[in-house]
Amino acid sequence: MRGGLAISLVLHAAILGWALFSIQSQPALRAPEPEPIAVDIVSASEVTRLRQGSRTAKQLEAEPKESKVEPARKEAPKPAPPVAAPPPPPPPDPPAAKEEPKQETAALQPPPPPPAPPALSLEEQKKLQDLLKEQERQAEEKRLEEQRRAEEEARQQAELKKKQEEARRKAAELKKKREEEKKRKEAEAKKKFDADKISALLNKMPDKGAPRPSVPLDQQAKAKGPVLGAPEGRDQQLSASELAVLKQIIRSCVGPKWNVLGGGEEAQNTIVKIRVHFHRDGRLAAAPQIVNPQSSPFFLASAESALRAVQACEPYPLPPDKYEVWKDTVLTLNPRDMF
Amino acid sequence: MIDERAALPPCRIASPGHGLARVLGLVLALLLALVLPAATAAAQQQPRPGPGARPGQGGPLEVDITQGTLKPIPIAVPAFLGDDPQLALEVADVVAADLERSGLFEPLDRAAFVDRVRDLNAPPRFQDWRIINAQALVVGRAGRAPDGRLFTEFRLWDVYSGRQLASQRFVVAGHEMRRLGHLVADQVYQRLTGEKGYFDTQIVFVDETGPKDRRSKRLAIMDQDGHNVRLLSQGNQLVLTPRFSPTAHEITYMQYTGDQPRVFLMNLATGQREAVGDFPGMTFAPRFSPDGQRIVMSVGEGGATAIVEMDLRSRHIRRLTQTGAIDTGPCYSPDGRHIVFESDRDGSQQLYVMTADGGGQRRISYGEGRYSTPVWSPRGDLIAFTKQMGGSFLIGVMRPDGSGERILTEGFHNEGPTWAPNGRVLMFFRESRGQGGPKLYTIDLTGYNERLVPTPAFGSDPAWSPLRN
Repeated sequence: MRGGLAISLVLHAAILGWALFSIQSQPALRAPEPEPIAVDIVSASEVTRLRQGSRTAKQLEAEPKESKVEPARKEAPKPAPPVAAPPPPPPPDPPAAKEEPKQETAALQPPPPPPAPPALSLEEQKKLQDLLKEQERQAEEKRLEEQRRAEEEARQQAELKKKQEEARRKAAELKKKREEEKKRKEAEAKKKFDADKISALLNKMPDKGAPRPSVPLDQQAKAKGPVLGAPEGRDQQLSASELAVLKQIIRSCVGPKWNVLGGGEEAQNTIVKIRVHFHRDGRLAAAPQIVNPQSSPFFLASAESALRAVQACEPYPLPPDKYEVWKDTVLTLNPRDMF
Repeated sequence: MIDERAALPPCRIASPGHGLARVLGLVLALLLALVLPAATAAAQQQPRPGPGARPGQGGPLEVDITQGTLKPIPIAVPAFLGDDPQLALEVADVVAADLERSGLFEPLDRAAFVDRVRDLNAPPRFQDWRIINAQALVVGRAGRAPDGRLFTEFRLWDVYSGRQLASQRFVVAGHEMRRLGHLVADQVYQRLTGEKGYFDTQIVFVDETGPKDRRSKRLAIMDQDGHNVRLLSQGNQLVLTPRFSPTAHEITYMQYTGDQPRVFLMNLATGQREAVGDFPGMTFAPRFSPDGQRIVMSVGEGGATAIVEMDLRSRHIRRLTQTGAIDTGPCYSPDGRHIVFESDRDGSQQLYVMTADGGGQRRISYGEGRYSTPVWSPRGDLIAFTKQMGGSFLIGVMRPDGSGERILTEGFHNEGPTWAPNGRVLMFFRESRGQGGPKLYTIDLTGYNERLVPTPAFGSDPAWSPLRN
């Protein structure tokens, strides 16, 4: 069995050795160049304000609207506690007032029978009658008072109810106003013409049901901070490295001057690649060349439009100390975002 | 209690001898010795470039630009040279107006020009034109030849690269001065946009005059910019849907004779008319085939309408649809192999496509609403139509398989689109509330640049001619 073990070990070593060498000869995976990532500093107050905002808002909600609602909310509960205070005191009084006359009448009733057996003189009877009359008067007064108090209390309760209803009505009105304003602002925002969102092919379907045929455009570095629920889209062109800065300088000049021919049959698939050589001061060292020439007249016209944009931008404000990086550049003009 | 048990044969591996352990150790050491240097060698052989590596060492800087602008191209069209300055100025004005109306060009104000063009054959001072941000420059000359005809010649310059892009000379009859401008504009348009021009064309339409209850409808023909209007009929009978023949010498249209609508042919040069076909029922919505040899139209029978094709030479009639529904509005594809039409066989008006011999009829419109008046683009890539949805009229385009439906304009009573010969611009008519009558409008197929076409009175049912040159 020793032989078997040796053979096994040799074979294992052979397999491992072959694996090592064959793995070594594979080309290493090249990691893709990292895209520059936009970084924005967001303060805590921005995030807390965002939570109260709407999902579709690109901007943060205006402050005055929030503060308008809150005082109304505060007002509504305010009347309730102070109004709640008066009701408790009146109710205890009437029962107490009611009890007293009862006790008095009850007290009044027993005394007459006892005086009946002992004979009373006229004067004493008169005094008794006066006393009785006085007590009756007092009882009546008390009853009147109690009635008055009860009426007052009922009036106060009615007032309180009215106040509560008014407060509720005001809150409902405010809510409606807020909703209308929001609707109006949304409608305005829809109508407002945003120059960054131009699409090369318009679709003027009257209702919202029509599907957009293409991917919506990027936000062009205007939205600030994180937005709840809004699509992030592609990253903004803020620089995270020198390369991104250089590319952005070129892009920001050539883009606005590049007249895209939008209605052609192949407009969506027409990609123009231009090779440019620069001088150190940003001027063109030679006429820019088309890297991927095609024979169709539409491509020729698109390519010339792109060339004119490149030529119209000189001198390019590129940093001379990085000249080695940008002296030879290939621009790829692809209008895919506009369809 | 266990008695003695038969002992298992000793496991050799479990208790290796000294020698075997040494062999194992040696093998392991060998493996390690192989692995470590190989790993380090592999790591050193292909150093991965970090994110801060300079591309200058590996190749050119690559920049992606994915967003351009849709602004019109700024172009300079100075007054043409010539012995007759008035004529030359008018021709230059026609060129500038055509280019501006297309929505793709912005002719710059002549007052801002720095340089004056004195010689057509000398290269201009491009620096002077770059200052005013002109991307292209048209210089030309126009005049009257000794034999009474009119001529023009022009050069189109690319201001930034300093190259000449086009140059040409045209001669026209003595009364067609504006055509000179249209011909030059077509060349400039074609060179700078890559698409064929459409300025040297005519529009045939129905001119409507008079109060609404006594409207007089007459056939009329005019240049695509609204000039040179000429009436073709007297207005005694109602005329509808005139269409051009591809050879542009004839039109076909529908006219009520007595109570019956009939299809007629009219020769534009001579004014001669003849009826097409001899059908007992009504015939309407006629259109020419792309080769000009056949007319396809709708024929009424009882309560239904069928699509019928007639060969103009042999007068042979061929029936293409027979569903018992209302099939009308046929239009050929530019290669003549397919026909698009509207039919209500499914319950509501929808668009259908069939082969030119009537086979393979299939529905292509599936959106909300009713579809009608389909027109196939001369480019072949789109079909324009009128759509009625919820009380509003829309004009849109879709691909011939029914996908990619896009609405270009909405209005009260928009209908009847017709394509310009380059398949880029649509003309239609719209009767806005309170306007009193319909007017003609044009719109680009991208949905931009809607323009009113000036007509002497009201106008409807436009049809665009092919290019005249």
